[in-house]
Amino acid sequence: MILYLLRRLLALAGVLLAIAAVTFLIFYVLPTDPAAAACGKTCSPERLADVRAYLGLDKPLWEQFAHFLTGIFTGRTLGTGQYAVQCDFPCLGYSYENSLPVWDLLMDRLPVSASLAFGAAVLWLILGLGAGVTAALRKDTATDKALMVGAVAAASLPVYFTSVMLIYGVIRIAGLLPYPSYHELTADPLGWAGNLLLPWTALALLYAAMYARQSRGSMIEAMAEPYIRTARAKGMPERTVVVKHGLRSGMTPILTIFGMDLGGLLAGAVITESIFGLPGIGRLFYGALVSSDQPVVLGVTLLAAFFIVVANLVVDLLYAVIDPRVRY
Amino acid sequence: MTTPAPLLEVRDLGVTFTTPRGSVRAVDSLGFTVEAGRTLGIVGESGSGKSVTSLAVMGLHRAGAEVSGSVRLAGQELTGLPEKELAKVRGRKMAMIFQDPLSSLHPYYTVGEQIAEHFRVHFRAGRAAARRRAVDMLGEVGIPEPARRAGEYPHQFSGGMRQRAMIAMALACEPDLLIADEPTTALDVTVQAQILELIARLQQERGLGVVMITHDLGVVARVAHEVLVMYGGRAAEQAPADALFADPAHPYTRGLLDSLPRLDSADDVPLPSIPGSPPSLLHPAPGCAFAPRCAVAAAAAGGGRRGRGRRRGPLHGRAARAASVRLGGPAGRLPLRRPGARCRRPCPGGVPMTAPATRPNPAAEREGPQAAPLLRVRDLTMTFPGKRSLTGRRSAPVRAVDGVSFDLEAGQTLGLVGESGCGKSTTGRMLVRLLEPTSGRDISRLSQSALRPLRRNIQMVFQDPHSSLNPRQTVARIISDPLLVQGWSAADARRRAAELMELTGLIPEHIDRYPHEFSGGQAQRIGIARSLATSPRLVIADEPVSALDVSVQAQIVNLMERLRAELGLAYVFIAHDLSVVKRVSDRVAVMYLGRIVEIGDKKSLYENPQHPYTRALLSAVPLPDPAAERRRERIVLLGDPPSPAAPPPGCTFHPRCPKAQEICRTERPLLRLAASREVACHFPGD
Repeated sequence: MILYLLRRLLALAGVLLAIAAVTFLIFYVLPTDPAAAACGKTCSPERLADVRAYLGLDKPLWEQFAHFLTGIFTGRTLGTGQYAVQCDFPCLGYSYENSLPVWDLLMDRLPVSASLAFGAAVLWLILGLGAGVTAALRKDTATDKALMVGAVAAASLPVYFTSVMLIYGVIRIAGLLPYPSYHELTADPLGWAGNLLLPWTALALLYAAMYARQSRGSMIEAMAEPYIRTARAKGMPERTVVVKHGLRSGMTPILTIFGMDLGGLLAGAVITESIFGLPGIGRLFYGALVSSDQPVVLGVTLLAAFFIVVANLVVDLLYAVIDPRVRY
Repeated sequence: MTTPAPLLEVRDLGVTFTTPRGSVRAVDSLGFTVEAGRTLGIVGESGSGKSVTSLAVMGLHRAGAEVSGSVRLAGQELTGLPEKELAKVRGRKMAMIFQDPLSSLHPYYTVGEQIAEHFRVHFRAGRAAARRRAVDMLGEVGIPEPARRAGEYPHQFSGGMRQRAMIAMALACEPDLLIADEPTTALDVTVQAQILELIARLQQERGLGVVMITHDLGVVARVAHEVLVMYGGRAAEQAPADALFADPAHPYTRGLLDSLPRLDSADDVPLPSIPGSPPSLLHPAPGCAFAPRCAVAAAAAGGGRRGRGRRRGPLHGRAARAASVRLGGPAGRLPLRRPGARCRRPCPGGVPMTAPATRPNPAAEREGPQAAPLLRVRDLTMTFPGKRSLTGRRSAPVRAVDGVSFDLEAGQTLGLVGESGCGKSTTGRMLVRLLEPTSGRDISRLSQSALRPLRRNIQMVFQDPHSSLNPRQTVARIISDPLLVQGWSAADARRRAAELMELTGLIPEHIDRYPHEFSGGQAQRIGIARSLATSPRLVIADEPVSALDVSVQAQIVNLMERLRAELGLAYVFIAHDLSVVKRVSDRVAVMYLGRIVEIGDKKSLYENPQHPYTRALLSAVPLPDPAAERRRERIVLLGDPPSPAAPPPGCTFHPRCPKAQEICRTERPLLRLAASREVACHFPGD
């Protein structure tokens, strides 16, 4: 078990390293010059060279990359002499745009994205699994068909469409909610939830549709297992049969996709955040991308990869908890 | 005064499914009773409705199935009972065990939890009491260290242990009725003997009524007091076991019994077979469901009046020939119309059936016994690397086949028997790479391309005919594939394929059909035709009949025998069924944990087995004869076959051997000559 965990953590580090390297390389081959971007519009050649040296761009690529990597673990010093800036652990560099530490930018935005992701996840699990399991248990009835038609419809609506419709319907026409702005959970829980309700719904609808279809399938499969018949033959009440014997095995495959989805969303939902004006990581990423803010893009990419890889690891470990046949 | 109601009384039971292709009457006007302490055996082939019947009795039939008629348990009517009330009866008053204990147990919960969970529901018992109950029950079904094992999961149990746990679960709430649906079909024959013994003991102790559903007539003969034979969803015959086996009244019952290869019958008598295959319930024929396959019906229809005068004149056509082959039928006796038999024309003692007129005896045609063998196998060994665990550590390597040696002469059949995991199939697969030792070439190291010219001499037939035929290829393509590889032209190959279809009893006009359009028996004929395409000299048949219905098995066995005689083939016939192996083999090798423990001439091996394992195997096979079953001494082996990954030291059989002594624990016995054959045992014979 310990050995397995170590191996997995090692693999995790490997994946992150590879992603960092690829992202680094992409920016290196891009035609835009980060030094020019950092230097500003009125930039003399001398000053440009200075900036270049300051950012370490005059060094070979591998040296830059090594510098970047060590910075994450030990912190590093940017520039020399009186301009030297100590970038503390965990150092992901500074934004070219506003010279703020990338790490601080990320941590600043993370609560917003996390609120959005977790809230939406709760909502889509309730909606999606509820619909999926209901449909599975009433397989081939009108309820089943109605739910599945609804799921296909919801899945085929792009999130920007549902978002806009929600804003238009709930805020503009009905005036039920204010236009969303982010409130901190700890400071104003009600405001937090009220403001996030619409983004949650918009995001959750899409995922709920996919989860309904997935969970219907796996639940039907689970309920057809011979051990379900055994449980019934023992005279277990149908509710126990479904909840204890069916649900646990039926939901196991859902865990895998849920880990991936949640991991992916934690690093930002670009479209939803943009439409609802939420200052999350997704918007940070988009802004950094259009302005070639390499350190920020690199930071967000690494964070996203980190979340996905960790979510995967957590899912695999949870499998061992759920299924006694899985042993590491 | 009224007689007390029987434990289970089923009257006029009908089950109908609605499918997209029409409604299926899976069970039709079925009635039977089971008394406390008695066993009813329900026998039938696939699609006969036997499992559907048991599920309908339990109220576990598929949603959408329509059940009519009456099911009374100790006087209580169960059909039409609301689900909630029915659940109170299930598990409490009647319980059920299933064929595959692994998939019938929930993989996520401990065995103890599963045994006791309904005890808590039915008796409103607490956790601790239920756990005690689970441990007690596990002890009662003979699981060692029950307290520890109760905390384990099903995958940590062996096959036999799992079925014991299922039985413990079924009996946890002291039910009066136990329905066992093919409880031993997935188990090895020595384990099957243990489980049947266990059920019989528990039945006696508790006065259980038992319904034993099986396709195996031997199992029925061993355990049942009464027998119900089902065909096409209906009762074909119902009678006390002794009467039914001694004198079957329905042509189908008799056909089944006659077409069964048996341990206790001479095998130079040809094996009669029932033509055709079990009916589709989708489009049931009017009248007797068995009529299309029934020789009596055919004789009656085809021969007109003459058919009815069976006692006087010879029967019609092919049937008559077969009838003359069949001995035994007391010609003077009138057709007995036993009330149990649902047949308008019950058997006149001997039912005519198609059978080869004489059994080919290729051994006699063999030239001198000193001819160089067709196949010489020496020290064949297969070691699989241990499984790599997720941590990257490899477990110990598995010696699946460990030093197997034998010779096979042209035109002969070697039977390879053993329980699951003994390495018999692995041996067969390795042989496909080997041949041409007549010229003395060792081909175990030839490259793939150097092997190709030799491949035409050795071919293989597989167990599951449907899954071993590509569903997207026509029969023409399937059969001619090996020829195209050998460089035949497409037209020639197609002509040859048609010939082969004819040879194997298929209709050549069906050459452009796809495998799913054929029944199981026909699909196996395609498999055989494919194996014969290159005119091989040796065919490896790996469980060729074990996936087939009993009535179809005999057809395939006969076909293989005929082909051997006509084409001078040699077979390596791999099977777990000792009766079938006895039927087809000249010599038999018994394998245990990758080694041959006994090999020799079929007749002497079966009549006078020397190795204790062979003796136990033979004694574990149930005979389709209740009287013989009661007479015979039975050796029931303890435990399950050990895992080949961790074979016991010394003689690998010693932990289960009734004769084991000190030397067996330490020293591995080699194959030695004993009583005209080779035996690997320190103490062969008695």
